[in-house]
Amino acid sequence: MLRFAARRLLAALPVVAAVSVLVFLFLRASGDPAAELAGEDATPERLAAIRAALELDLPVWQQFLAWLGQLLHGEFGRSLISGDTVARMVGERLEATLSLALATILVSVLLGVGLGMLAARHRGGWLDRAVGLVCVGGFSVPSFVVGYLLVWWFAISLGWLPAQGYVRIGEDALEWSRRIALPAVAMSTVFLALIARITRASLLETLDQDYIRTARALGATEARVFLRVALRNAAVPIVTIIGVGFGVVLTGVVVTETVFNLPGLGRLVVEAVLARDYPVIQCVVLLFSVVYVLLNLVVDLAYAALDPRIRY
Amino acid sequence: MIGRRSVALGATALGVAGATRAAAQGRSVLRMAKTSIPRILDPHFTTSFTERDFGYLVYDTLFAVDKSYTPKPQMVERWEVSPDRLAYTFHLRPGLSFHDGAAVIAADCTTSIQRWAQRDGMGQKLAAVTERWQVLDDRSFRLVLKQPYELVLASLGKVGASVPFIMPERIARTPGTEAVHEFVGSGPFRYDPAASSAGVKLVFHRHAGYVPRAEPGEWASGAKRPMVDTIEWIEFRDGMTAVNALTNNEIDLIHELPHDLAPLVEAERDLRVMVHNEVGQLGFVRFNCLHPPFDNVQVRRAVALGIDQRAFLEALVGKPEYYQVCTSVYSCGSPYETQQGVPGFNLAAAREQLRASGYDGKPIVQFHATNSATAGPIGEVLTRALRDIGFTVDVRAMDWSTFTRRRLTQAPPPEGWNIACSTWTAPDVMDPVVNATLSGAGKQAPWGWPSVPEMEVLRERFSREPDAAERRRLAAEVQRLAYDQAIYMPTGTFKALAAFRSNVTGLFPAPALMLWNVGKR
Repeated sequence: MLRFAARRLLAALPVVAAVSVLVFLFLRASGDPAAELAGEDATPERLAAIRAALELDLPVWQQFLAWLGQLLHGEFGRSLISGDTVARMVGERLEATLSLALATILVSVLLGVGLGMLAARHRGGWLDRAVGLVCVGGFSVPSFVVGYLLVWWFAISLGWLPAQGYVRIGEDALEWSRRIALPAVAMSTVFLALIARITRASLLETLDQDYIRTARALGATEARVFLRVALRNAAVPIVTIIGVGFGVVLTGVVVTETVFNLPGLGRLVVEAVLARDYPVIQCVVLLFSVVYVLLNLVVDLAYAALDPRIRY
Repeated sequence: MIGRRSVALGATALGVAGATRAAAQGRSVLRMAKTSIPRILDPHFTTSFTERDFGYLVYDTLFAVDKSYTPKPQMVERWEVSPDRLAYTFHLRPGLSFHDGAAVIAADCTTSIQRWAQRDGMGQKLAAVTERWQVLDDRSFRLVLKQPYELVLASLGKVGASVPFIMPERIARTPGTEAVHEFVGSGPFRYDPAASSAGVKLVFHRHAGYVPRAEPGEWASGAKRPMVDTIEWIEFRDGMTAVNALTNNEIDLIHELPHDLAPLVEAERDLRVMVHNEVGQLGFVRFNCLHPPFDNVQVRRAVALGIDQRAFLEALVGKPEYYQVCTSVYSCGSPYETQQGVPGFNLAAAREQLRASGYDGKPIVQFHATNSATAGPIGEVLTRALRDIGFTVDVRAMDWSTFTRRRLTQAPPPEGWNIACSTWTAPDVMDPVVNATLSGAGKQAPWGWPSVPEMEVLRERFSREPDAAERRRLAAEVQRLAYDQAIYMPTGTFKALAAFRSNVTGLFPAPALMLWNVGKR
């Protein structure tokens, strides 16, 4: 298992490197942070002076080597716009995004698997149809609409929760949970629906298998059959979708972060893209590509843990 | 020996400690939402309005204009002008101190002004006529000119970006091409980097050592009294989220409320809406004068005749109370506002003019920054207007950052462009010199590069003219020439709104974010 993990990690290195090179080249083919800084009445001379000060006038290969050199020293450089270290900027934003992603996945998994099991258990009944309706709603209504509705109801009408903002978990854990609750629920609607549908389909397929009939014939209780036998055997597609979902949530939080004014990585990367703040974009893309590689590895390892027939 | 700087340092440190304690106790914190917060923070380095707003909280200026655009002394106590108008001697007010406790001295002012002049268009004009800056003593300094220049005080008091803020000499020695990373000013509020979070929230505390002027405050001039212990400037990318936070009593003030959200705020009993920036922002259409068809003044005049400001303003704002048709190339309400040479909207005449110009129907390239809240809608109306006049338009949609880069290319389309639009704030176009879009310096002019040598002569004469009436006449002549040559076309003025809770007091109309004299009940 360890050799497999090491092999997978080594195989991922060229992927991460290729992503880095492509992002580096594409960025330099688009906007120019110097033009942004030069202002409305910019003259070619002023633009050239700013480009020289930011070392953007160097050949692209020299800029790339300089960035690579920084990476090898464990540094990500400084923002071209604010002058802050990129590591600090990303570090400050990481907690909010991770909190939102983990809370979203937690809500989605708990409710999604639960609803999927309920629907499978009552196949064809009104509960199954009700769950189907919830899933269609989850797929159809955009998360920002859900977000605004939740704010209107729970924050403005009832006054139970704050409408926006973020508090670090280390500062005040209770306030952190109050701040993360609405965005997590708003964001989980799509994944909840997805997980519920996958869970239902996978369980129904498993429940038709001979070994389920055998387990029942041997006198196992329905709860044991459902939770210990069927669910475990149906888990592989569910774990796959949770892994993919976590990656999508982590990299796609910008709308929810904006609606709830959360200072996360999504907003940081959008601002950096609009300002062509190259070092920040490069660092975040690198981080996301590493996260995707690790997520895929974790999902693969989870397969083996859940299904003894899978061996690497 | 204990110097003046050391005494002031001690006094300020005590005051700062007191203010910090007050904030920590949760007393009078003003939480303000704005669409963006500054990233660079150096107000000399960039023309960004957010950095200018940051600057007004943290720094002070030698002069500042009132709402009639008249420069008033701010850090300066008194000044003299030599009879030949070649020397300006300034004397600082007593008791001015920076947030680190050091007293403000003359060398801080001369160094700061010279740094600002490296980057700002108005500053560069002042630098071009400057013989030298001379420190006379700790509180006095002199500007010696090579030739009379009548815009010295207007330059030092300008309110549009970028503003000549005063920094400590040690910081102001940083070259203008390099942003400073220490933000120590002598303004009414002290920036607290430790409590701030980059791109999320900026925190300011009352500068206990600030000595306000005795005159009533008006715009950036007169008394600046910090009325709250702490200001938190929080970024809200989404206007609706800011309104939700205001309604839920999580913030106190929204600066630059989106116009379409005003009815929601007005419907709430505890919330108020006011026109915060009455002089507002102005949209404009810019031609690339280097390449066909807009190298032909006849074609530019056709567009000038086909611009209906009301269509642009309706698309952008929608509510007549919040916009103003303003055909002057100077901001409406400014001393130089005039109707000289205004062509007036006449679509039939525009079409006829285009036919007569010899335009061959070849597509013109319009650069369109779609993600700009202001230039985006203006660009959409421009496309429609150009097609109505008879142009074939090839719209190139892009984000603002790409737009700011690509508009600087002087190459012909398809790499370059033919027509585009953007916005100014009213103080940035208040006279013929500060309005850089009026430049007729060809390839040395800002993007668009119109070559109208007569315009440069007029602007130069304006800057040297001591007589106010003659300056007004020259300004009118500049406008006549600008419209005759169709250098650019204004698309109207739109006003900025503020929304606030009813317990916020003292908010006053201003052309920038100015939070002194603003308190909470």
